[in-house]
Amino acid sequence: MNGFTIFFLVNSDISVLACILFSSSLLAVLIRKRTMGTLLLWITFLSTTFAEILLGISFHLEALSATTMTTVTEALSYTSYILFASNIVFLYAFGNRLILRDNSFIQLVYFVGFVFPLALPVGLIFKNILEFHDPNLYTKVSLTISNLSIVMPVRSIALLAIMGPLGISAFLRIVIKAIRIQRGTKDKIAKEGFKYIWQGTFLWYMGYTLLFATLWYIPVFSTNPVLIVIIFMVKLIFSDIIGFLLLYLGWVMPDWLKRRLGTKSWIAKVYTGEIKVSEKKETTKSFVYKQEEHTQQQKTGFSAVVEVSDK
Amino acid sequence: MAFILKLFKKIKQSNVTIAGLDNAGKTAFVNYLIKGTFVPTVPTAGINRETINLPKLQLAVYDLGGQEKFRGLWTQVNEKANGLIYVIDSTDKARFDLTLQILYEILETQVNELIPVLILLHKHDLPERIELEEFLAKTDFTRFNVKWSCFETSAKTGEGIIKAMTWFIKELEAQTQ
Ligand SMILES: Nc1nc2c(ncn2[C@@H]2O[C@H](COP(=O)(O)OP(=O)(O)OP(=O)(O)O)[C@@H](O)[C@H]2O)c(=O)[nH]1
Ligand SMILES: [Mg+2]
Repeated sequence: MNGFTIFFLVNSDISVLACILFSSSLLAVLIRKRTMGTLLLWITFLSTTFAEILLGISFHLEALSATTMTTVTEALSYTSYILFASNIVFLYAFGNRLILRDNSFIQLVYFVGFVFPLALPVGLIFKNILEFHDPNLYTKVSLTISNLSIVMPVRSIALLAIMGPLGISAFLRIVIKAIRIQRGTKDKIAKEGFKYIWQGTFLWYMGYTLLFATLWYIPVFSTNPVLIVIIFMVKLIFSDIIGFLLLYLGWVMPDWLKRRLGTKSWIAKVYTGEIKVSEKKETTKSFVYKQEEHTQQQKTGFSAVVEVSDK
Repeated sequence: MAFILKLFKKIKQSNVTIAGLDNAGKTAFVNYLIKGTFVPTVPTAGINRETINLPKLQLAVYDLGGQEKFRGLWTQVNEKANGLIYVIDSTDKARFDLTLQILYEILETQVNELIPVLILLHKHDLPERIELEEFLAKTDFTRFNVKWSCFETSAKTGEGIIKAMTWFIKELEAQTQ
């Protein structure tokens, strides 16, 4: 095992760990608050996690079995690429629900456009496992100094012709619209949330697009080990770590982050409303909670405020 | 961050859900809003949908059936709500803890953050009711990130309803601008 092999193993282990960390944190949020948006984001995280795990296993198997690729490792790594690609569907669904709000016709175009190219290779994998190595389906990216090689689905070049424009248009539209919304929002927390979401989406997409685009389309990247290492590093840092972190923070907005971003109104929530008695003949009372107005002195809580009642 | 959903709707329309235990007076409250007077009701089976047109806003009001067998339907409606009205029968002391527990659960797991939540201590016309101060002393909403208020109302006399809705509609409009 040489340095390059070890690099790929460690790189994929870190990816797997980061993905597991983010998807389990988001699962905890999902259990607490079962909203559709969180579910969609979690599915995106989860399928990336699976993809990374499969790819990781295939790297490890290959490293253990010295130089030759087995059908198993090919299938594993191929499946993981399909999972990566299918993430575009889930991230679109998330972005659409939150930001784009496309009408159902446009949604249908996107989903059919995404799902059709995905369904095809899934069938091909099984065919290929049965018929053994079919060079039409796989090409090996040989890393000259490494004893690892990466499996790339050749047919996917055609598939990507459909996925590419749709994926990129979805991604650009999400980012542009989110920036516009962020500009137009007054609420400081929401503004910050949007910023994280578009930045996270941007980095996430960029990392993977870079990975696929370079390895599949630009020959020098699939033969030059240094370039491949750089690409994998970029993908690890921008997609798996920073991208996911930003998406998670932007969507979930944990309390500690709100506190850091917000003014003191987020620090201590106490009841500072007033009880008012209705005008004239009415005898009803009401209480309106005013979060913005409280200060340190008002921390006495609401029992003090209730005394205001019969003014 | 789910609350950001609402920021993009160039809302001409707001979804409002009315939840609460059975017999709380939800349907009577909605009827008062629509007809301006008390109308006798029957227990709601499932969900009633009413539309209220305001000058700047159209309210789609979902009046949820409060009986236990219908509570499973609430999640879906609440998830899309731009505002929540929670009706508490102020004379039903026996089920006070239950109704609070259900309200907490809705706030925690069903509705988006930062939406306005209007809590009604309903049936104010009856003498054996619980007072607002007593209600506030028993509750704690500090852990929920919503804009909430509590009004005493009655669908029999109409007291408090206009005041409560004025607050609620103002909050709904503020989030839609
Ligand atoms: N005294 C008094 N009675 C009320 C008031 N509002 C409703 N009621 C009565 O309370 C009972 C229940 O009212 P509904 O509006 O049907 O209750 P609900 O919450 O819609 O009940 P479900 O549909 O089963 O969930 C009826 O008998 C109403 O007449 C009120 O303000 N004062
Ligand atoms: Mg009813």
